[in-house]
Amino acid sequence: MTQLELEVPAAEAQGLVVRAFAGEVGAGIGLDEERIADLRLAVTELLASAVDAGSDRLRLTFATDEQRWVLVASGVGDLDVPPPELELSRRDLLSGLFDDIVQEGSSARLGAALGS
Amino acid sequence: MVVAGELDLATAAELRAAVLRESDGGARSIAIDLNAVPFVDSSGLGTIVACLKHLRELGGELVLVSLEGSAIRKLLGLTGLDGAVRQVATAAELPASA
Repeated sequence: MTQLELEVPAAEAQGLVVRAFAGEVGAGIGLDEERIADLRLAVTELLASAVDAGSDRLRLTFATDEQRWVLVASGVGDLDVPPPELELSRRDLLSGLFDDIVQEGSSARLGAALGS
Repeated sequence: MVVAGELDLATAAELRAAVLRESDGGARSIAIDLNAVPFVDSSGLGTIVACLKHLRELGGELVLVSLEGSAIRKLLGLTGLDGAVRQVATAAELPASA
């Protein structure tokens, strides 16, 4: 199993950092461009949720085995709270990107099969 | 109005401020060209929705200029809002009022 971790302040300006991390990790495990774009959007939404919740930090842990990749995000706040001006929650939005999403407390886990 | 760069929680407020400046100056129909925007998140989309509501309250309209397959079109589809805002692919397709 391979594991990579990024921890950043839960701050608006960190969007570029988390997207760069997601892009590098996604490319590194062979995701296609569309899937990498999904992953970049997902980590940005996780960061935005952390900012909205007033979290101090966001930690992203990305792990893969031979069949799946999994992203665990800590400090994300409540994904069921819709972003400003939208009725759809971030959990709903993320569910539209990835089938497997679970939130426990202020941590969330999402993932998919490699190659999907 | 042409927007370039990533539209996220760090930059969405700039777009809202720009639209408000235009509407405060008398504009009622505003087109936002997002063809140079490679990334949009829910903060950016929320800002677009807020601008849409604001202009409609003034009797105006918001039109998005974005190509098929663009980041904003994907997000609009993902959130079910693709029918809520008028979209054209290029500035050449804009109505004369925008």
